[in-house]
Amino acid sequence: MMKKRVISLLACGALAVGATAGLTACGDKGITIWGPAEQQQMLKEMVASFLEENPDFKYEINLGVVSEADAYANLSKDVAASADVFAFANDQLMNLKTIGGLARLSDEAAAKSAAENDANSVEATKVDGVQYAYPYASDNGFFMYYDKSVISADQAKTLEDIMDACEAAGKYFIFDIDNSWYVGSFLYGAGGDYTINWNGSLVGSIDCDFDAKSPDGDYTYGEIGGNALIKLHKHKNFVNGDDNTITKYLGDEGFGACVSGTWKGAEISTKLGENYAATKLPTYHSELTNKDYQIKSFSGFKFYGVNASSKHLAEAHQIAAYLSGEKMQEKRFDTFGIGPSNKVVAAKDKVKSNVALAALLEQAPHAKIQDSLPPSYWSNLEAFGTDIHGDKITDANLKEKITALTEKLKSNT
Amino acid sequence: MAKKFRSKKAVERGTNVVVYVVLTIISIVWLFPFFYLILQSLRAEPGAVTPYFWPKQWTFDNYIKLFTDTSTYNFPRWYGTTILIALVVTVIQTFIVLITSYALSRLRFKMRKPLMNLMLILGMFPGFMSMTAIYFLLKLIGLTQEMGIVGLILVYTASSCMGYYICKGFFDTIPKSLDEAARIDGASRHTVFIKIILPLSKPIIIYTILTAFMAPWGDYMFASLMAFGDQKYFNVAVGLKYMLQRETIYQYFTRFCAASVIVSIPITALFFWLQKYYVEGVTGGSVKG
Amino acid sequence: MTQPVSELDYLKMSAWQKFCYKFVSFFKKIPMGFLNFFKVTIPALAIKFWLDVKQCFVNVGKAAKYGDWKTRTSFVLMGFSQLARKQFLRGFTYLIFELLFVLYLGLFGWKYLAMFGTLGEHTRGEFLNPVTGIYEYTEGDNSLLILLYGLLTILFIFAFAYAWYQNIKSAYSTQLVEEAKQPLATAKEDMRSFVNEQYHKTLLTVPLVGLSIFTIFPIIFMIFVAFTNYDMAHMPPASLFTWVGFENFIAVLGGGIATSSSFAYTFGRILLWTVVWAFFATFTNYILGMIVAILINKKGIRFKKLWRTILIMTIAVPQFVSLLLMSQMFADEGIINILLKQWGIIDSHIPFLTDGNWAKATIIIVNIWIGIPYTMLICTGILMNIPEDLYESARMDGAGPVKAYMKITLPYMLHVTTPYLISQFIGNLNNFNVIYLLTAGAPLSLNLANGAGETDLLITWLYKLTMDKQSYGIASVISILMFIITAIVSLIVYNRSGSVKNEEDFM
Repeated sequence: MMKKRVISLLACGALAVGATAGLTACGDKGITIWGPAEQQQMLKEMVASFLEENPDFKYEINLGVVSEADAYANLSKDVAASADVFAFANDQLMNLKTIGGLARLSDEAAAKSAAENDANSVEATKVDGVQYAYPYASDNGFFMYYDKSVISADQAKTLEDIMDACEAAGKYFIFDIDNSWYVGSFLYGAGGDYTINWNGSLVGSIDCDFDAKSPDGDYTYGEIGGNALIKLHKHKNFVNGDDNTITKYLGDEGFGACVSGTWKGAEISTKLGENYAATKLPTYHSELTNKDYQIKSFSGFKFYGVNASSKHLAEAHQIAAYLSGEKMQEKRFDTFGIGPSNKVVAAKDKVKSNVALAALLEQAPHAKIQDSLPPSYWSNLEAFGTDIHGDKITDANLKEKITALTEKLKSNT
Repeated sequence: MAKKFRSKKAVERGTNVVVYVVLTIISIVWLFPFFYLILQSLRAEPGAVTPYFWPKQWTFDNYIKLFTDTSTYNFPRWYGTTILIALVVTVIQTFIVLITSYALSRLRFKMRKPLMNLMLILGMFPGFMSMTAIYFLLKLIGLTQEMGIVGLILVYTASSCMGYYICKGFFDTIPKSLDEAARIDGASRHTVFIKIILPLSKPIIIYTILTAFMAPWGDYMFASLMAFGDQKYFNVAVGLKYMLQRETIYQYFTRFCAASVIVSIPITALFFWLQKYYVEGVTGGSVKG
Repeated sequence: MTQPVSELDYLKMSAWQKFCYKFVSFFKKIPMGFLNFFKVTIPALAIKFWLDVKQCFVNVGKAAKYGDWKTRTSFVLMGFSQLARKQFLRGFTYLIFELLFVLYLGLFGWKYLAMFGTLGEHTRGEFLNPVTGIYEYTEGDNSLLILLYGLLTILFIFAFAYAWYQNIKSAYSTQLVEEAKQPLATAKEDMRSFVNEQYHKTLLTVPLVGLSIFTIFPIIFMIFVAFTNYDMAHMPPASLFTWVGFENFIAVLGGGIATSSSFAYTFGRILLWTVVWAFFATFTNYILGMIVAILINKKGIRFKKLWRTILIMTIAVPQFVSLLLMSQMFADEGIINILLKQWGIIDSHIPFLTDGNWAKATIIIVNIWIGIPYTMLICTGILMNIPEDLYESARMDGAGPVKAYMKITLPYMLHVTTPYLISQFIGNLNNFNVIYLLTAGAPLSLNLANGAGETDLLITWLYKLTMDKQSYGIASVISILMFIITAIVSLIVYNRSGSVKNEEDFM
């Protein structure tokens, strides 16, 4: 009996002491910044230059490895223990706001940010008209890379010509059909749309018209896009694949063209050398309506957010503003070719002459601003693409599948 | 009809040849993934998948860079952390499993049966549902992030008594007459455990050590929660997962393979060396609960 | 219900029939087991608990009535009676425990306990700091911490009440011993009993404290979460969550979360696959593992250690590495497809992981790769235990190797491993790792709802539901239901398996 009590008592004691110690002696950990793994070195240099410009900055600055895509997943576990300043992709904005992860920008900082950055990117940082983050990149979209020796600039304009050129040269067109980020592009291209009506930072209701009749004929938007996808998927020079597959085909000499984003630019340009080219997404010809449709892409942004639970809010804002400022955006472009949201940097010649960014810019008029999409969007479009890839969706059942897809998207399940 | 006259020995030899062929095929199938892993780790060309099996250019750089190029991925540090965790966990877990199993196998007390039932079912609660509670408990006593290693050790070992099953089965096979003889000579139960049972339990102790040592290498979910983004506190699993992200997989896949090989080496070596005991331990105790 | 077979019929059955009979009758007994569990076990436990509590009150009452002043002071100042009677070890232990408890409650526990009823009232506020122009935040209540630490405090109070009761009991009993002019137990005697009669307490205290804090407490916490509206929209620190009674249970059981018509269909599909998976994962591993073990242990086969080591390597490599690698190898453009194409076996790639049915088959095959080494090891041990003379006499009767296998090896194996098999089956129902690391439930399909994929098991689907919308309340309810079912089934298995072995003697 006694021993048991001694031990449990010790355990309780340890807990009690620990608890009081934890509460009273909360050591100041300074300021933590989260950024993706491959950019840690650059981030270190940025912090060094920040400290150089602000020699009397009183806090220690630590770096953590959390990619822009994982910010919400981490913050949702424990906001208080998360970084003071963190990078995130714009589709997490609403969720981050909901769980209290984002601090509001001061009116002054908001005005400055709005003046310096591209209007779309600033608009995307707002919840109910209030700015909650600092935009620093506006290249989170996709477009087409191609091999000039296989496809001419003129052929690159339509999907049909691209496929013909690939077939003639025995090369392949690579597109990630079972990835929800890419597959919607055909449906949006046909004229369909998906909009979330926000209730603050929570999903209020969802409008989706993939099952609505297109003005071009007796078909729905979904059918026009879906039919084109099915046709593309059947083509023998089409390959469904992600970035790894692109790498594989580049090494295999089988690369004709692919759809991807700026992060793939360096690799493709090294592999293709002189034949490296990029442009906006092509148009596709619908057999149903006998018309051409421009494939649309998403356009997304990357932001720095300040944690509302930060112990040093003013300093955290100062750092976030610095990291998203003109100078740092230029450095980011120089190091990784990341497309700036800053208007001055974007206007520079070196940025304009960057092949990938130029293609992104060309795509911009045909891009849908990527909202904070709910999990149901990702899972249902992935299911749609997977079913096309697995030949579960055919022209015969396309209509009912589109209806089911729309219903699920609308009901957010 | 020649078959009929073949000697028994010939038949035996014939079947043995078939068995050897089957075993060789099985071995190839089982070794293929490792072989592939090693090939990938020696490949000079970057990228996650290649359309060919044999690397076009061989290199040892992936291994060297793991230990020299630590600015982005500090593999040596993760490796050290994980080994440290694994060693401490091994000591504590072996201790806990042994005393729990001994108590449940040899001692008779009122709550024995209910306790065994309880430990059996507790493992069936979905583990990820408990993560939040455990995390905030550890945070309360300051065992996250900087102290995350201590926290992880606590998490891995605290409930290790639930793994008593095989060890208890082994103790059950040791004849009780040994205990009784010693008890008559005036030995306390404690003495019986230390002086008589433990020396007879080498296989199961080694089995327990091996299983305890392996577990911390594969934990991703909890370890990433404890480190909370701070690279200094990553374990191998969390670190390796970071190498496979969209932006980094092209450049780092081969290095990931090299790291996996390095992670596998100590455990495989340990297994090879202690295999005899492992087999005795698991077979002595596995089904005799 | 089929008629239970008579003992005679049972003995006449072949090993396979016996095994099937046992397996089927086991699952047939589960409903009865459930019924018994709720009709017999739970009431019995409740009655026992009630009697114990009553006895406690009786004992305390006695101590209050007949206790001397020393004993009575112990009611307030724990350990006083023991100290006054010179049992310093016991006395100080109680006293220190009481002090620590009061400190804990006063300094930490109290404020969480006070808010336990509402789980917090003050939401975090945003205000403009007029000096700096920065928007700052007031610290609101944190429902999660209130629930967690409040619960911790309640458990400590129970622990304290138990210690207090022991303190009274011990005080009164030492008083009685003293009055009877008997010698009191010395510290030395106390210590000695802990390596003898009380040795189980010495051994089990540390393991059980760990188990209670890191396994049982989190489960209790999750059970309480099931009665709250904890989800993304009610997540600290931005907002509060609160008690909602049985709302989540009604939502799950009454189909409230089945907002889409396909929810029930999805649930059925996933449940079916979970059972099919558990069945195949268990039996493929078992049968193939046994065959491999027999091959390796066959007389005249050399390099036994080498064959075993090769298989055991799969245990030695961390599972997340081997599974991640496997998922790369089996990809559409992965090395397996590439090799098959190079060798001219196939023209176009096989969708190993991208087609629902293929993916299911691939998972089971990969699971064989992972699982056979374990089964092989276990079977090796049992095979070694089969008495050699059985085979000897079979050989005398002219039985060939196949007949010997069917008549001796297989029945023996099945007899010994039935409980192992059933527990493997239940373990596979909840096998999170293989699915999560290999496919994460993919491929998805429009036929399924709520993010479920073709290869999702119930547990991985639950994980997705939790992570997607952080709906911890609902997820807790589902976990509790799953837990109750698997726990009861396992308890029946476990407690039956012992009796199975004892009542039937094989030799």
